[in-house]
Order: sequence, then structure tokens, then C-alpha cells
Amino acid sequence: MDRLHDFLKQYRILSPGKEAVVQEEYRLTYAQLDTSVDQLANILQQNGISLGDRVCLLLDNSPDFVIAYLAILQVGGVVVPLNPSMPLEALTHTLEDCSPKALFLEKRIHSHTVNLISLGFGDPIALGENGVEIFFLSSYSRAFRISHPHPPVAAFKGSFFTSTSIDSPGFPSSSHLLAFPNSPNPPGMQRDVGGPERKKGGKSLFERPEQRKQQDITDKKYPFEAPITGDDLAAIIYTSGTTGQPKGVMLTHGNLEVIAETGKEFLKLTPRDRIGILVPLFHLYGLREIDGCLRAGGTLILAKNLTYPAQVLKQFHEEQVTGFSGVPGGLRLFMDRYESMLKRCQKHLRYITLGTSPAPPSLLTQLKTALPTTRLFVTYGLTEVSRVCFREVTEPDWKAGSVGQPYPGVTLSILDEQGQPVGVNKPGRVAVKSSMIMKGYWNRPDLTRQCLRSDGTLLTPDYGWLDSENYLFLLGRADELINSGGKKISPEEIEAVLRKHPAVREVAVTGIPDPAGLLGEVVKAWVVCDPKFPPDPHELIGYCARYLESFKVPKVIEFSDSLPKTVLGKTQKSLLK
Amino acid sequence: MINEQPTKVVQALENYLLSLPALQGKGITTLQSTDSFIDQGIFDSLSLLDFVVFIEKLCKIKIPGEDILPENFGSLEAVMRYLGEKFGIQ
Repeated sequence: MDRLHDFLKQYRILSPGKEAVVQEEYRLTYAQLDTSVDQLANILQQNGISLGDRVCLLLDNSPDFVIAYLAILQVGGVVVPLNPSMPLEALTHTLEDCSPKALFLEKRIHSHTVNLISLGFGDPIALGENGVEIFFLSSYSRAFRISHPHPPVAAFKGSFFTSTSIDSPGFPSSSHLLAFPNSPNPPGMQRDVGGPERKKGGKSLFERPEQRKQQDITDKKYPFEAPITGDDLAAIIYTSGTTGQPKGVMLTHGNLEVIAETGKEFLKLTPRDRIGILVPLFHLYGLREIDGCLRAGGTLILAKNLTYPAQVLKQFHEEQVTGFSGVPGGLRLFMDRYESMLKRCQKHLRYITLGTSPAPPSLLTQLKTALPTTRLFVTYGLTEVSRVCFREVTEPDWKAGSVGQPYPGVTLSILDEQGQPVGVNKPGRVAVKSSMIMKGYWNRPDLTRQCLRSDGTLLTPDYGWLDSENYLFLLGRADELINSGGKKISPEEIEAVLRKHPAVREVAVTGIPDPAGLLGEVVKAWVVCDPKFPPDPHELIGYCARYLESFKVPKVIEFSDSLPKTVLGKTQKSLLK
Repeated sequence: MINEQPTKVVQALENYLLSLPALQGKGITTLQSTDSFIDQGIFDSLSLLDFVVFIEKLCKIKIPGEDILPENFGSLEAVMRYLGEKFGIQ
């Protein structure tokens, strides 16, 4: 197995000064990135993180995310990327499910720490001064912090690095950078080995420099190379499931390698590429871009704030981005509001890929017209297998509606209800065989058995058909998941929340076409109220917002006296759409 | 040009913001004009556009995409300053 970490080491030697990760003024070369990753890996190891331990990332897109991701993988930990805007209630459920040993928290959600303590998840051990908080849980707690006396830097923001170039005057000195982790006194790092003398109550937990215990840091075994195999778990990605609660898709190191190499080959990535990231890294659709780009020796350009597309496109133009992956809703937004800014990128923009939901032919036509020299691809995949098909859009009408042919190494089949293959041009369930297929669902062997057959075939939730040239055309989903702007939403999860509200007697949630035409579908709840309570949509929306991520909160609530039922009493959602 | 009284615009924008799930979910019932939309996690790119469309309809204006930046749409105060400078809405 070729580990991502090995590529990082290789590029550190080949092109140490080349930029690896960029987010406006926060820029890391390959040498700086590798050193930061080693430093953090060292810290993780010394705080008990080892093979198979889950570590949650509740971080916005930033170089810090990339450092944390790589460091966790390096020590053999399992990365669990989560939406940092997730409400505490949803987060609590996920933490209980994956039982992590550590969390990385974005500064703006440090308030979660207090709540997590009150819920019994552990003590806040490491409080960064101005940045990411690293929170080791329960008995695995060890205290540490990273700081630098001058200039002040955010904790963990590139560890000891500022935006200063490695060769710039004023930067501490390259020897400090390169000596660590074997340097006896890494600058600015003070750590505590924990134990009974550890103080609580928000006071400093850290030793004075002269009290530093050096044995761990000077010990050359840190960070040691974890004995990772391709079959070891590398990441758990939570995705909406039909059972209500999100389920954790388990991906191995082998999966990540094949996903990255397939993407690298498909997009012909080279060290000259500067890949823009405008989707959240806590989704596999974004996360896999890190691996592909760094394996190619390219540069990751992380959009600073995904909320403001104008800022993103301005940054992509200034950084001469050569390619990016987006979702149809986002690209529709670009074309509707920011077309001139997108067009400015054409000179350097080599490719765009569109995935996670069907791209309307009209959007593809608009994009090809606006960016005639940029290669445009539609892709199809799911978290459970990442990459299934792709199609280059040369003429929008050619194979219109198809999501393309399988990637190399992927075998597609269409199965009937008995699980037998059907012929060409005949509809059925889409089944996939590939070395990108997940290991299973975390803690859910029952769900794993439902979709993963003993021969390794993954039964997707999608219906479709293959033409004679092996182009796949999708027809719809076997489950009721709502696809809103590429985000999959379980109606059952929303129904479960609404049922807890005292005013709600019955509820059914469905997807309806987005009136604005951007998201594909939006969430609608049909509610039968208890007569004692007046129907109040704002109250119910606010209630949902306390428990659900924003994109899952119903956009529309319709009150009804009753819901249509089958003779067995099951709600007939098809009559509600 | 806007027919609304400025106070009505501010009030309408406040009401709109406070009705958003991101604030309701946190139990936030008041908003300072300088509160950062980014820090509060109020918007994503699509819900920000909903907000822009709401302003356009309210004020009968068209806001260019390149103006939808944090400095113009990063807080209620920034929005009002932008509307004032660009469209004369005080």
C-alpha cells in the first residue's frame, strides 16, 4: 500500500518549498505541512491515540483540518469528520455511536465543551488560546497546548508556523522546524503528562518550560510509523440512513488509496494542479480531494468561507485554480449570480466535476457555453463506494441524462428483485463491485448485510439501466432519502424529532421540488396537530433546528387533519408529494 | 428605489434573520446589528442567497453577485451600510 504519508515525505524532499495547502494568508509548503503533521502525530501518539482509535474533526475547511486529518491517519487513528455546525443533540448521538478518544473543535463551537462535560463525555483538557481546541476524552486525557511566544499564533494553526515563509527573516529558524520531533525542546510546546496532580477548573494545566518533561519528545520512537495495512480502518463518514439516525460508513486505508488514485488518474492530476475546494471537507466528496491532490504533488486551495461564493471565486481566480468539484446547486448559483466571476477563471480552470445529485442538461449547456475550454465532468458515486461512474460532457445532448461509464476497476450490474442481472436497457437495482467499496457500517452489521453481499457486491439504493455502451442512466432511489443540494436527508430522522414535540400527533416528511430551482428537493413536513395546540409552523421549525442540522430543517410545514394511510395503517407518502 | 421607511427595512431584516433555523435552534431571540453572520453560523451559500433575494424583493433592487461579500453581507450593520451606500437606503 502506498500511504499518503509516504507521498508527503517524498514531496517534502523533492519540492520542500512548493505550496501544499493554501487558504488566503495561511499557506503551508510541503516541508511545513509534513513537519506540522509530524508534530501533531507526535502529540496524538503521546496522548494515547493509536491504531483504530476514533478521532472526530469538527472543523471548518482550513489547513488545520488537513494537518489533523493527515496526522490522525499517520498514527493509525480513524478520522471521523463531522459538520462543525451540527447541533449538540445530533453531535451527542454521533459521539455515543463512534466513541472517539479525541475531538478537534473549531473555535466558534468551544461552547460545546461545557456541554460535553455536563453530558459526561470527559474533561476539557487542552484549550487552545485562539484557535482549534483539542479535546481528549475521559481516561485518555493528557494535557498539552501549543503556543509560540512571538509572534503569537493560534494554537495548532500550523503549530509553530505563521504565514511567514519558512525562509523569511523573522521566522524562528528552519532548524527548529526540521529538528522536531527529534529536537529536545520544540519551541513553544509545553506539555503535561496528566496524572493525579492535574488541576481543574479552567486554570492552567501546563508546566512551566523549565518543568517540561522531555522524555517523550526526545524519544525517537515518536511519531513512530503505525503498522497500518490496507484493511485497517481509516475513516468513518456519517451519512443519512433510512433508519433515521445517520450511519457511519467505514472506509479503510486501502479504500482511501484507491479512491484517491482513481481520481488522480481520471482527472490527470499533476504537481502543476491547484485544486480548489468549495465543498465541506467533512463530506467524502470533499475529503477525497485532499488525498488526490497531495498524492499528485499539487496544491490545495481551500476556499476561506463557503458562504460567500463571490469571495470563493475571487480567491480561485487569484490563486489560479486549475480544477474543482462542485454540486449542481452550487454551480447553478454560480451561473445565476456570479457568471462573470466564474468566466474570469476560464484561463486557468482546466476542469470542473459535478456530483452528488443529477445535473440538469440546461445547467451543463450553460456551463459549456460560459467555459468552452474547461473540461466538464458529471460523476456518480455514494459515500459507500465513493466513485462509480463519470462522463465528460462534450456536447450536452450526447448521452444526456447519463451519469457515465464506470471508472477503471469498477464493475456495474443491474439486478432484478431476485438479485439476478437483467439485460441491456432494462431497469433494475444498481449494483457495484470495486475495491473502493466500504468495509461496512459502523456498529450496524444488520444494515451492512442488507447492502453488502458476501461476494463483495454493493447493492446501491439507486435504480437505473445500462445502455449497450455501458453508460448508466439513473431512474430514482429505492429508499425515500431526500436529496437537497446534494445532501442526503432521512425523512425518518426528521419525523422522529417532530414526533417528540407535544403538539404533533402525526407527521410525515417528504421531499418536494425546490421552488427556487437550486436544491433539487427541499424538506416538507405534513403534520397533524393535537387539537389542544394551535398549528404554529415557526414553533415546529425552531424545535427542529434545536436537534437537526440546518439543511434538514423543514422549509415547508403543512398542517392537515389526517394523513393518507394504507389498510395496514402505514402512511402513504406517495400521495403526499 | 425603496418605498419602505428605513426602520421598517431594518425591522424586516431582523425578523427574517431571527426566523432562520440556525438562530432558532440556538434559542437566539435578539440580534445585535454587529453580530457576525459567519460567527453565528447563520447562513450557507444558498440560504445567504435566499436572504439576498428577500432584500431585493423588499427594497425592489437588484444586488450584483460580486457585491455579496462578507464586508457587505457579514452582519446586519454591514448590510444596512451597503444598502445605504449603493442604493441610498438609509
